[in-house]
Amino acid sequence: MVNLPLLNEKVHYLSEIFSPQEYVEKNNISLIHAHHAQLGLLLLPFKEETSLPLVTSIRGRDATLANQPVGYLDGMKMLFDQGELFLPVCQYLAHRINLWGCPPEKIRVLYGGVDLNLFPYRGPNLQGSQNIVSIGRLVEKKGHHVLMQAFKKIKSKFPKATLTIIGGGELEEYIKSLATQLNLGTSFRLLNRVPKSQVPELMAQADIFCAPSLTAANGDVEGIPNTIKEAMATGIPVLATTHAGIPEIITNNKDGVLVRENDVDHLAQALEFMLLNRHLWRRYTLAARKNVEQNFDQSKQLLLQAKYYDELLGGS
Amino acid sequence: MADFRLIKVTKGPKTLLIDNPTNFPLIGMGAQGAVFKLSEERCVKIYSNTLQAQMELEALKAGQHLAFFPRLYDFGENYIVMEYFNAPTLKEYLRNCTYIPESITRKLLYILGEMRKAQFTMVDAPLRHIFVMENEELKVIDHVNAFKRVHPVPLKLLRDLNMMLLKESFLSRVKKMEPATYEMWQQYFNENKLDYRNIPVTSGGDGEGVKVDSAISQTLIGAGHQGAVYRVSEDKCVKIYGKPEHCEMEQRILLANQDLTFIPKVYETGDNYVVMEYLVGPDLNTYLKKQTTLPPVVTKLLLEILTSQKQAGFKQIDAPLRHVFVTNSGFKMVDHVYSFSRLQERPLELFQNLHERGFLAEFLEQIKILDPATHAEWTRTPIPLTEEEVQMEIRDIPTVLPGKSSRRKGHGQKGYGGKKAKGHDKDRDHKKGKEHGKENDRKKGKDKDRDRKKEQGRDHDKGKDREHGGKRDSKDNKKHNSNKDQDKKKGNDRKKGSDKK
Repeated sequence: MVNLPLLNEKVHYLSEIFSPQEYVEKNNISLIHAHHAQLGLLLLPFKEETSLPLVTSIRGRDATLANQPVGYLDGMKMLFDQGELFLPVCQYLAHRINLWGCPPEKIRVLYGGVDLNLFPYRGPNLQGSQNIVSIGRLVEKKGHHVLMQAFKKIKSKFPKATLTIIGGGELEEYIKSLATQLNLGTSFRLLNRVPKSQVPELMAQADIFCAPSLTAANGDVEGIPNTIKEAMATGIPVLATTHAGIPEIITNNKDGVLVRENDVDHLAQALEFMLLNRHLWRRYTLAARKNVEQNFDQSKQLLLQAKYYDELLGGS
Repeated sequence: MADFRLIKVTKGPKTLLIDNPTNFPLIGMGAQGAVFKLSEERCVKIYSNTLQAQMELEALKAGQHLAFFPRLYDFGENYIVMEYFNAPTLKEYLRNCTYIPESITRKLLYILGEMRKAQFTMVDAPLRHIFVMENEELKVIDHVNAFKRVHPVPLKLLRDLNMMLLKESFLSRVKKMEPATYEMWQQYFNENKLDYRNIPVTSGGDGEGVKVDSAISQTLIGAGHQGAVYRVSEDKCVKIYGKPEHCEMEQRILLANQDLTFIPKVYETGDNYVVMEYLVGPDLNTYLKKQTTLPPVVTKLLLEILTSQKQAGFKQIDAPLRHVFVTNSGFKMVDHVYSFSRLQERPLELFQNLHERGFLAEFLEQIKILDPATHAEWTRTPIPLTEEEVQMEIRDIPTVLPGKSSRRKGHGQKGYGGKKAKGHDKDRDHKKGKEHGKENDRKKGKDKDRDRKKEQGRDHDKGKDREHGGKRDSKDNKKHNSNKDQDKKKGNDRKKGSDKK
């Protein structure tokens, strides 16, 4: 048995399906779930031919018109019309697609969950190190460049502090040259090509997790970054921006700290606040863990998803 | 500026040869002619063949009333000056689309309708010949075959849309917008449904791939030298051979080795066809293109194939990456025509393929750990990486096919013993790439270049009365084979082999 990623008996390829009807019958399929709006569109002809109900998840990338292929908005309207159910990953995106014409009765917010077993609570690190970590692809909306500038501002006050960015992507060169330009020296490191399996371990070394997400120049936005949920589950104090769905998971000064997006000074102040107020960390992280357990637990969210499937299929 | 009439376009061995003493830039080249930009509004297409210039001229004249045709400005015996479009092609325009826009569908249907009205027999255009102007107005170029080829249904357009995963949404829209057109297409496809027991493939002759009837091209998975492969159902495909000899050779190898896990299941055989299991999944070359390191499991599974080939008495031990498919029931390998008629002790083409992907060193290291003896055997002499060196190491041997019922029986099967048929139309020379491979991976960079080089070689050969290939097929064959020097000398011709006797 070959078990390479995405190559196992559970994975089928749309382009390899010869006859949709036969395929659906043979594999006993009762519903299609597209995990992005673009995929929902791609599956519409398949849905038409097989009359299966179509569920579409809506993520950050789906909710911007910038850098989309020709006819995207028209396509989305068609999808809202023909699809049965839409599962935006946060309220913010639910609101967006509603504005674009998706009927409210077809919308259910389904927060993405994290596997709590992979991220057990270990509580804040109170040893005195000052390691700030940010994880995410190197694309504009992740806001790494803002974090680097904010870090530069506090660096002289906290000579022991370090900043680690974990991720790869199109802005790699830019991030590297920015680090040189800001003269961050050895206090900064960029780890790219880190396998997903190493993330929990790297996260455990962090003192503060920062998610400086922002709206990119082309309009690209986030939903709720998974890394925030993972950091919150682990018990690392989180500092993030009031961007997209993030305020739905973090309440400022309750289970973390929120700052305005794309605001270097505000972020620098918050970093300083976090580093100077270690005594708040335990309170933040306990509240955060509780929040994640209640609302972002993968097993609970999958059950909720199954419930939505059942509703759609007329079961219980 | 110099006169564009000074530019000379002639037919080369494979591609056109261009002698351009002017400053007019070359902006496109096809099989029949080359296009040079004259100004922001004009370009000139210069043909190597005046007949084709005439054909296109006739079509352009017939279409001047159509807004989507390029304006015709001037013409001569071997050239046509026409409108130049500085715009993206429809293929570029639709990039990343997952559902074809309504406006584009409407415009395409309009164009096809007008072509029909103008009584073109070729009611079709590939996406790369359609330009999208700023106001989304479409323009169509290249009408050489407008009155020559018969495409009542836009086969090329549908093929291209299919590759971009847009065919289904296009058809869905057509069904709603022009039900009559949709019905007509469906009827055409039903009438031209593949009946593999009634074979439409013919051998392309010397150095050519098989010719495939384009009417049934919608289910074509791949076409190569010996045959074409079509999907016939959810889990079956049929390989149709240009020559019954090839068919029998491969059929018997497949049937005698059905117990080997990497051999695709065979369901039915005929004189010119084999119905076998359709392999779902990417070929290994496509798969490895997306990897940054060589997964050890890949090495392990490849080694298993090669080891079981050896144990099963295969004469040619190899597993070219594009012939290996990663399916959810393991690695499968296709194309075994020459497994018993070429003697090759180490997987040279696999080495070459892995080298191209940058994984050869890693592969050998992993082999060294898994099977030190095999590693030692493979690396005793340096691994050849050029085509020429590789060819020197492969020897043609009299075909000794395994028996149908019991393996390694059946020496000297009628017509095969000692008679190495066909020259050396090695699979990798296939004009159209692999037979079993997925179509959209066919024409990629290096492979394409390599193929083109070979094509050139092959065509050169044509003019030489096929001295080499021809003789190899004759009774002299044995003599040649036994003469090492001769063989070496001809090693290089192996790949240029002729299909003709």
